[in-house]
Amino acid sequence: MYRSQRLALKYFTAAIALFGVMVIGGLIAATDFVRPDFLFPHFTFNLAKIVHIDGLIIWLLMGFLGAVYWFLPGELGREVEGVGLAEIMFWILCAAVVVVFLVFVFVQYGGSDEMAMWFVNQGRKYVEAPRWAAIGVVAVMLVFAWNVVGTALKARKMTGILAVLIVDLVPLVVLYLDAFPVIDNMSVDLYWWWWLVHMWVEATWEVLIGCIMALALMQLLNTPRRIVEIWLYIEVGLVLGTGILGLGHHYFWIGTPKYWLGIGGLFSAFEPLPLLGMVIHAVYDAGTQHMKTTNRPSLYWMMAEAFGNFIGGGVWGFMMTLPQINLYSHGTQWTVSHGHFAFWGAYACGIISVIYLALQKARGAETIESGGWKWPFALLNVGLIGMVGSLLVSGMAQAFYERALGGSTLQAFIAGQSSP
Amino acid sequence: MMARLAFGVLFAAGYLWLVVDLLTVGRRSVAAAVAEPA
Repeated sequence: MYRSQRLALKYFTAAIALFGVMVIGGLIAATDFVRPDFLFPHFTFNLAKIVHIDGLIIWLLMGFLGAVYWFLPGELGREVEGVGLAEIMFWILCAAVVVVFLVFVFVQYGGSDEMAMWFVNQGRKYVEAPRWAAIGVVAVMLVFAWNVVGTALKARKMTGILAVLIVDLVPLVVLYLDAFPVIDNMSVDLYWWWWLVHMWVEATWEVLIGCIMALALMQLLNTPRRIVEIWLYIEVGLVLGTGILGLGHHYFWIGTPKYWLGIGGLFSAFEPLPLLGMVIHAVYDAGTQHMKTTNRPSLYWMMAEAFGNFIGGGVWGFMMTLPQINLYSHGTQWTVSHGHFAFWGAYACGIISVIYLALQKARGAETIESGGWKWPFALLNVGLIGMVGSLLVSGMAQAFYERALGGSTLQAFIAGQSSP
Repeated sequence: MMARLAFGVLFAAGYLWLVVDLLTVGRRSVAAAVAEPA
């Protein structure tokens, strides 16, 4: 095994551990809805939410890094350049995550001053991590980018998949710098904040998972490189063509000019298209192999990824993206339903698929024959669909009762809360 | 609201089972192959 593949296994371990922390945050938050004084005031809902969503972002990032570190030496036929530094950055990242988590839980808040920004909480959703940790994340990402580019340079080799990945790394890293600005005007602040959030999960991350799935498909189903590359180019072209201006679907409410209603609504409506392409691609590839694989769990999780990405991200997202609908659905549990479904389907399932693939190789198993993967696959997916469904029902009730019927007044809001 | 918590608990159970499976997958296959008579 290459040294970077050993590093990949470490990243996968850390990712799955953080996944568990995210689940705990989610369970506390869900319990808060049923019993609002649960663990109050020591572990409040907003703390549970921060743990849940920040844990999500970081575990997925760790999964992505692990996946690329796993596949890169095979792609280029040599050890990853700068792997020693990458190993150090891994431990720094883990330490930073632990410290930030402890600060979130035990310090919780500071004054509205620079000290708080640097050491406690920066305040903006998903990027609450204090400034010192945000700088650490940038450092990890820069080393990661060097690992990828440097290895390609040293190997004097380039593949289509790697070319897409490398080009994607530029906006991926640069956009994270959006975590830092402190802007007084809320409209301007949100305008730029959405560049980070949307262009991560609805653009650069989709490209990243597309590259990772392309690499995984070649190993899992022996799909020819030409086929995965052609699909990747089509998918990436569509993702960027729809997703970049689709950013506008976050500009309906924040005080930006009215033309965003049209631009955002139109382009984001097409965002499901590349995701549909990914489904067709994955099913086609599996079909040509008659579903024969030596790693059944990896294949199943990859199918879950393809369908979950399209239905959770594409269909659920489309449901809310048109301004006429968003008028009623904005900020309701409907959005939460979409968020859970999309993150799970688009990213979590793909990472789990790659982990099974990596473990098969790492443990030297010719095939994965045991059925132990089936129960977790079923429970996780049924649990997720169940959460998505119940959140959708409550979200639609909010949109219908509070917004449409109640006219979004305070009384309507209160009446909506007491509905079971 | 109970429903989402209940499904969340189901999800959490699946997560724990996933951890167990990831720790053991592949090892069992090797062990089974080794244990098989030639």
